Amino acid sequence: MPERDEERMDMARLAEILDAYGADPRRWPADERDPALALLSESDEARALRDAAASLDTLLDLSYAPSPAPALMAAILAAAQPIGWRRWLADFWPVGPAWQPVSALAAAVVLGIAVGAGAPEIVLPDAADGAIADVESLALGPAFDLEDGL
Amino acid sequence: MSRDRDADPGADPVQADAALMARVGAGDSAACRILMDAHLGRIHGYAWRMLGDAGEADDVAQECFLRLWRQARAWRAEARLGTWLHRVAHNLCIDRLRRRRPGTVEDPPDLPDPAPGPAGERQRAQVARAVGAALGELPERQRAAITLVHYQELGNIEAAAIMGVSVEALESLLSRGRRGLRAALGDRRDDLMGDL
Repeated sequence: MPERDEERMDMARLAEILDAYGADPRRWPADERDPALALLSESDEARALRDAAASLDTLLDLSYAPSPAPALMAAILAAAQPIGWRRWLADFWPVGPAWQPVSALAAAVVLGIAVGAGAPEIVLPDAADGAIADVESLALGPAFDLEDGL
Repeated sequence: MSRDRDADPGADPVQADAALMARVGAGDSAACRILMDAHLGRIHGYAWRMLGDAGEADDVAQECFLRLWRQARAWRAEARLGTWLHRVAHNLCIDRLRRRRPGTVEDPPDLPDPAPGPAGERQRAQVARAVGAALGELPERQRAAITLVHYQELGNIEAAAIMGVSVEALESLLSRGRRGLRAALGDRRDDLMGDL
């Protein structure tokens, strides 16, 4: 059966796997684990290779790393808590980083100042009074005199 | 051994990590504790095996988590937290190793002295020191590969991604590293193991 042949593992590849990953099948490449286990189940030579790899694993497994100190855990936890103005900003703007509303506010202020400083100056002419008189004359007529009308 | 490929296939760990990070971003200290309980020991252990110094391992682990907290609000469900943390820790360790003076001989990892007690405990501590020293003598990439696969129990694809190498390159590093360890420890194996 071709499918079965493709799934079979040869001794050379098993040796490479044991040489790299050691004897524990859980550390082997996931897609090669079953074929490797099948070869192990049927070959004394394969089992001898596995036992040789297990010898180094046993030594490695006796090495242990120290646990992190409680002070380190406390320092890391403390750093996770926003303090002072950062906490206030986080409460004010809970949907994202606080720099977003602060930046928007600052941009609005800068834009307002820029518009104010750059706008052309508007000067009302002194003739404004005359213009008002013209409007009155148009409405009431040039020679209208209240006393004459009586 | 907890491994990704052995996890409950119905759960989506990437989404679960993202949900925890959202809680961290909202200032939920319980979520921070959950993340630390799950990852701090492993990240600290990785840095300790890579650097051989408890103080430097503390610094690396702290920096990893500070960066994680800063990422919390912008975190996207694209990667496992463990992978991300290991990658940051790996890069920080490599930076520190490369800043060390060339030719510096690294001391064996500073394990606490074994307390007076059963002979088996003292023997075990002696083996741990010898293995730590042999690991410390390996080139940094071989040490990283063996630490990620053997001690951190990561799959080959994840370990290769953390180191930024192909799976084939990882396998080569592992083979050379284990060969170096066998050369350093093999002759002393019986003495080291004693009655263990």
